[in-house]
Amino acid sequence: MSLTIHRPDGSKSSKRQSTYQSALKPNVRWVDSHWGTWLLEIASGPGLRDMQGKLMNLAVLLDHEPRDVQALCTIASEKVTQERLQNELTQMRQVIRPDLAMRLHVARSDKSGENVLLEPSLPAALKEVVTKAVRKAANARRRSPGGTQLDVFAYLIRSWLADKGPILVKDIQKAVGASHPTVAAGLEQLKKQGVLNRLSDRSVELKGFPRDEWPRWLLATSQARKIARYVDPSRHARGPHEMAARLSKATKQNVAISGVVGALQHFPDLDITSAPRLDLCISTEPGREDLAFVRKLDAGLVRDDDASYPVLAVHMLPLRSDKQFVEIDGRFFADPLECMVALYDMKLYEPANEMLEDLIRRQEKSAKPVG
Amino acid sequence: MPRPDNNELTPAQVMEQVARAIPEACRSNVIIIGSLAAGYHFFGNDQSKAIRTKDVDAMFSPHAMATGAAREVTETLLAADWTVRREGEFGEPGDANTPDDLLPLVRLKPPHQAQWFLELMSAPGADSDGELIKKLDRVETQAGHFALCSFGFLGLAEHVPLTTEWGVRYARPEMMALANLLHHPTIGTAIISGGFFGPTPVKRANKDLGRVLALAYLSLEQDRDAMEKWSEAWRDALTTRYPQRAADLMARIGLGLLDLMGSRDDFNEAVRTCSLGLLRSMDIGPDALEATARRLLAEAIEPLTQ
Repeated sequence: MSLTIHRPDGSKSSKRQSTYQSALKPNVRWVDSHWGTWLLEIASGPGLRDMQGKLMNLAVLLDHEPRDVQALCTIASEKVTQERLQNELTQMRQVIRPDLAMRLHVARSDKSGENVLLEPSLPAALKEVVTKAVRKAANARRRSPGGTQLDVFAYLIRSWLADKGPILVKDIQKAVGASHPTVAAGLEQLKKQGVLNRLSDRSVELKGFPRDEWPRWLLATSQARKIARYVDPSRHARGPHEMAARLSKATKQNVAISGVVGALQHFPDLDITSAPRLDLCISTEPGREDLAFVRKLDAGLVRDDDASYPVLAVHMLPLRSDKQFVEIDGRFFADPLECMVALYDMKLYEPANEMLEDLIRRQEKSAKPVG
Repeated sequence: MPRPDNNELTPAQVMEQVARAIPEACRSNVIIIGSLAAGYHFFGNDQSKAIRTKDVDAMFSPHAMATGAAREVTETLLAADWTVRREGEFGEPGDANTPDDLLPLVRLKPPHQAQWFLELMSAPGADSDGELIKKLDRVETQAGHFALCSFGFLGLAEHVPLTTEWGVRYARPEMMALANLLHHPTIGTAIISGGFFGPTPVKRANKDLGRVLALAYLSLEQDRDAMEKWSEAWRDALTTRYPQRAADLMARIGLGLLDLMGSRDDFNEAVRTCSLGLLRSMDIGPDALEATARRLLAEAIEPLTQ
């Protein structure tokens, strides 16, 4: 992945790919590739959810770019028809500003990047660029990239909620598997917002819960996350608690229960009468997820990553994420932060906010005053 | 979605009519099987779920008493103004000179109504090991000679049948499903011509395996873990009824269903028979029945093959 640096005034940095400089800029966004005045994003299939998130990302980016910059989102999946793709673009164009909408384009290729289908009005040379970008994105996924700034933020929040006190920067780096510039950039952002204390021994600590950054982190996390969603065509699916109860027999993998069922372990007062779905978390290398166990939870379910109301959602987390799983009575549960991500994904904002406030209250009650 | 006609009878009403018509002494020898048994089990007296029961299949059990009980029932019903249902070249009762395979089955119509008729069958003998062949037993009545037929796997309907308040019993849905699955290890070419399922002929295997899916669907409506319970019940039935062949039979339970799932045309035909039959009052499409088939395979069938 390469990096585009956007200045607040909308002009671009001359060092477009300078990772270090990105730490100094507030509006940092990633795209998969660039070509001339084109920004390129590669979405993976089979559904359109990944593409929807990337189109949004591109629309936000274009708003900060000169007017000659255009954006192309390619879905690397033969399963999506050209018609469906165009419908998606049409819908997207209807909800964003017209001057941005017309600079946003879609394309399709097969998984290997070949057989690129472009809108006829676009430069044919883009085909080759797309092919290379798809391959590059696939390679990047295979390499299992290290932690991101989102992971740094999540780690700090977890540490704060657990009242762990100051943490050495090198320990953050080690824990999230991120490079030094990535960690530095994340910390710098928080410092600028005035929520981070930097101590003289190269350790840092949140001053309090970063309420302003929290919703942005949630949004970015849910957009970046791959979630396998399952629907039940016959309305005979087992309930979330029943499926969760079968988990230990269904797989030997470390699969953690998240969402409402998981949140109830951490916050029994959660104000939800019945869980609308089961959320699970697996820690996996990108593209190597083993979801065979889903059949043992309920063989009738069908995967549809674009589903609005799935009965099961499996969140794919980076490899080391299972360190955050909590074992209770022989079952793994996702930690509170992860459960809240799932609650927000289900749009259960109010219960999620109540849970968050409860966690903050608990932390503040137990915390020693920060010097 | 077809809705039941106002003048259609509920399964419980038909069951009561059948039971009351059968001499009390014979009722405990009768096990109702097929669509009436399934309809009664799942819908009972629900007026919105009336089913088109055309043939009411009554199996006499045990086999040793089947012909005697069938004779008594036939004579009692004919004396009560029931009539022999005549269809094509079959129907006229035979005599001592009529070969067994040319005798008509016992099909009797109740007086003053034409919605359904009663067909008598026999449980297979104790020597039956589940062979697919049809066996015929002669029933000699004052009205003439008839044949009582039995099929190998029909014996599974005798396994722990359920009771009605009128004394006759009926087969468990899971046992009827098992018999159908074993009866069709492949999608055979035998067809049912026209009539109940419309003018187009329907493959018998598609109709019978479609019935399995409908039974599974309705069972899952009542209990999300029903397929696992079916698996346990099937293991018990097969090891009890066919102790020597149980392992072989378990290994092939799912073959026909896999064939059905592998053929879009056959599967759609099976779905069509369901929507004209047991699932008539419900709007159930292929996607839902595919999900049912996957649950059936994963939770009822696969545990028996491992």
